[in-house]
Amino acid sequence: MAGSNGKDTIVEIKDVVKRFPVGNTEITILKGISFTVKAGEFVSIVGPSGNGKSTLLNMITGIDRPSSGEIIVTGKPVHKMSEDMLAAWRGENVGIIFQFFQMLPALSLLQNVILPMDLAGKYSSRERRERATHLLEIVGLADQAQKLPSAVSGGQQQRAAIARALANDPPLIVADEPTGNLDSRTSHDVFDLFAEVVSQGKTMLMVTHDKELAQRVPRVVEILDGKITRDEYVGRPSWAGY
Amino acid sequence: MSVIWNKVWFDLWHNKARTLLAVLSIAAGVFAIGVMFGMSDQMLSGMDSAHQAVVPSHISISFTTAIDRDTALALRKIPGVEGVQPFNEMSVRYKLRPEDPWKQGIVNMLDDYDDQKYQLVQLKEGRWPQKDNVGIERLAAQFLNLNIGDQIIFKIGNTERALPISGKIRHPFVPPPQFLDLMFFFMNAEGLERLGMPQGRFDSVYVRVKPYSEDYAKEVATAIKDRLGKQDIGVSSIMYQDPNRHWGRAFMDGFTLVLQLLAVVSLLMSVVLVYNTVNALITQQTDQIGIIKAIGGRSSTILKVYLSGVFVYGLLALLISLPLGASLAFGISQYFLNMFNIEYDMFRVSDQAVVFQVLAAIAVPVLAGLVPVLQGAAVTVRQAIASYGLGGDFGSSWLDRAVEQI
Repeated sequence: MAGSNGKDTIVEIKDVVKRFPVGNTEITILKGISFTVKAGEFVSIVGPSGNGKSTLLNMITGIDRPSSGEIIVTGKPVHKMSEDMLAAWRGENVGIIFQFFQMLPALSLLQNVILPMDLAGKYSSRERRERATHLLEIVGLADQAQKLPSAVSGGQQQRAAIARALANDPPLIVADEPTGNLDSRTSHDVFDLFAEVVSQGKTMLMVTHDKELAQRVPRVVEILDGKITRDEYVGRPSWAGY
Repeated sequence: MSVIWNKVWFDLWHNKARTLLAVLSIAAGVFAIGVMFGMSDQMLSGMDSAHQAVVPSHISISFTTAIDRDTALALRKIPGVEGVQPFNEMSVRYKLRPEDPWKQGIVNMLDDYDDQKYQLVQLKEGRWPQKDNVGIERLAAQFLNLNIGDQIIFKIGNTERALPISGKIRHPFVPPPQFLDLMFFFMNAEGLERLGMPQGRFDSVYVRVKPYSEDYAKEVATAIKDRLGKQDIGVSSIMYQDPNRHWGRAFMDGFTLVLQLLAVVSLLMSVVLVYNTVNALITQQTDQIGIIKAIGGRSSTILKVYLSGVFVYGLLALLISLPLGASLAFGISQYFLNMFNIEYDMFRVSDQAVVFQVLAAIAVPVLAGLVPVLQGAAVTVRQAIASYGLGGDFGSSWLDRAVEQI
């Protein structure tokens, strides 16, 4: 069992089951998953392909829904919320980093980072621009701010995605295979940014196939055949909160 | 201003072919609406205005034998008769050159051209006819390419007499020469005497009734006929006229209705293209919709973004089609009104057509795009961007199940 630092629970998964219809039958991907994540934790979710890691992450962000069970994130029962409520809640509470970056191609990097703030109605117009510029500086992209995503590298797009995920200062950051399309050096740079984000008090959940990266994360949750087979603290105790 | 509008602008500008196609398609339909409805509005109202301006008679009665002025004016005593104006209208044969064949014409004669009551004719150029000259209807002059001073040869009994043109006169109730090869001329009482009509006698009267209604006009006409019958004066024909509607409306109403329907059909065809364009755009950008929703955008945001694009298509189409439609509507109206002998020279725009064009350009494309945009807004993030693989929703449709059976 992972170490607890006495902080509030930010993610609570209770007996979650997820089934998918395939033809006339159903396949059960998650067979009763339960675990919690405290504020400030950095958790990696690992396991073989097809075992439900991304499914679990999507259910935590409200992108998918469980077949049964409960998912409580930042105190909200996301499994019960409507699509529009989920969209608004995500904008304020969850920063999502996708494997394929998912930047809007029509907007510059700066505009992509400003967009979540526009959608949430957070900060004044000037503050949004200033904040987005500052976030891009943090991820080392201040000089690329006016470029479209198509004009920068994959690594730069992923760093811009991290800045975007932090735009509304959400308590929870979720990353699904964030280094899946990056070379190893860029992957390490991105991971260092994650560590920096966690050190500032954010909670981070990351699905990854990268064993080396997974070893650098304080807590690992392994899913195998639809069940949690391992949930342990593996990183250095000096990580924030531990 | 939200940065999302940059996306709207980007989508419009960086897909110029698609934008141009959508805009021109909408513009074609809106242009057609502007021309047909604008033309219809201007023409029909122009016809009616011109008709009302000449104080049209309600009844026009022709007699089998000519009556004197006093007999004609005595008809004013019949209940319901507001006023009476006697006149003459006779067939005549004319030609322009001695070697030409004779053609049919009509000669009008008013008792006093300077004191008309009904069916007002207007002197456009020159002078009213005197004993030894004639006036010519201005459309006839235009059609025959005649001017003041030119001679027209009339058949008078077994002889011929050439009379010069004294003036060009507008008669409000002549059919266009292009439709009917029948020219109208004007003489005074002395001039008409050559054709066998004694001065002071008339073969027709114009009558107005009060209060006017079609049925009441018929009642009064019957009373007039009965009164004249007692005086052994026969009535050869009675014609009724709506004082508010131009006599050409019966033809033009049907004509303009067909054109308006064609314009609507043209607009509907553009609607189909708008629907297809927006549908394709939504399909192409489903993943972007998913991203926007994943980072906090609601369905209303999606609706706003994509319907704004359609709105811009419509606005651009309106900017193109509004001035073009107005110009052509005026031009066509002017052409047809001139054909009906109505002057229409000052440029005008039909308010009604402008309203229809605005609705056609803005509301219709937005409504056309609404279905695919609503479908796009209803897409969940999972449907749009989640790519974990178990075949997704395969098996949920009858086609999937049929394929599985193979």
